Amino acid sequence: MAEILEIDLKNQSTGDLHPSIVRDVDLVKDVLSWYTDWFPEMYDLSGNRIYEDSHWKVPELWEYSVRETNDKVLVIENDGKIQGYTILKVSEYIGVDGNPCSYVKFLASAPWNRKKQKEVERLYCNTGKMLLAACIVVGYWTIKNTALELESLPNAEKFYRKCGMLPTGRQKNGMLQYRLDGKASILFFEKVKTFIRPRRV
Amino acid sequence: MMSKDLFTDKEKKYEPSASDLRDEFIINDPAEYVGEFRKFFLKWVRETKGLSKSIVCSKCHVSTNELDRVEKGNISEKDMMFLNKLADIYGLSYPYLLALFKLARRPQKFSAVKLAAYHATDIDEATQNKIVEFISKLKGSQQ
Repeated sequence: MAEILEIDLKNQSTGDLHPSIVRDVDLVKDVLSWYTDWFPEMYDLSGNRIYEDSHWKVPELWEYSVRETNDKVLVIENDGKIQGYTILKVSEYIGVDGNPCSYVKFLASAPWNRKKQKEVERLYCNTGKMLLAACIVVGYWTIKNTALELESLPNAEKFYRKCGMLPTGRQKNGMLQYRLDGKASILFFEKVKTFIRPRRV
Repeated sequence: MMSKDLFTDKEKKYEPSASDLRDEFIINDPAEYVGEFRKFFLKWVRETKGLSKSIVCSKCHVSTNELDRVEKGNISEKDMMFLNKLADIYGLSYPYLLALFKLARRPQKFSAVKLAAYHATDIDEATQNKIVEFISKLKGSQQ
């Protein structure tokens, strides 16, 4: 279980910074945490999805990615809880510019860190950005390229555009493909590095 | 838990897309998934940790039959000490394990109440609505 980054998560209501880590997933511990803390917040009591990504069997995705592929599964842990996770493909992916780059298969913040929680203020407001920053760092370490590509769910497009990503095409399923090129990724990293502790970066 | 491939063959022509996940990775019914989860979790953890049944049984001083029963999700309050030992061996949070098997007597979190409601398969819609109303009041009073 390798630690990737030491970061600070920003509490939205108080502005306080909370020390956290981005690390490789610990299948056993994190699956139980996902089930207990995260999963019940994704559905209402009638079993209806609250979010557009509610339907994922996250433990199965993590297990598959760890055991069957070379993908990296990274989680943000704070106070024993998983605050977000990402699954990153860092090999055998060629970007739209013809060069190898990283492909973000999944990126999700915990439900309590999402804007959709209208009644309650988000707990931490920078989990998505920290996950993207971690993807950039891992991409640099493994393939020496900080560019990222991903396919965005409709409700997440605003976030990715805000991070500097640009659409590169639309897939047949209607989803937009986004890219954060090398320069844009450095700019993005510069903006968020105040939340990253300079240990291994 | 595992499946052979993450995405359908049709979608492999394009870049993998989260929206094209194979059915095995999709929750169709959360209540059903809760039931499934309880039935496979402990066995899956033991196998993931590379522990044999005999090792776990000897550490917990229980019979293989008892371990089998617990791993199938047939757990009652009598098994709380056993779960405590399993939590130690597997490096898991004991309160989370109690919540998983509905043994937490006083749910302390909104999510725990919700999980308990998912487990109760005989709840009708009117009762669910009452629960939602109750939880909303509870959340309001906490804030």
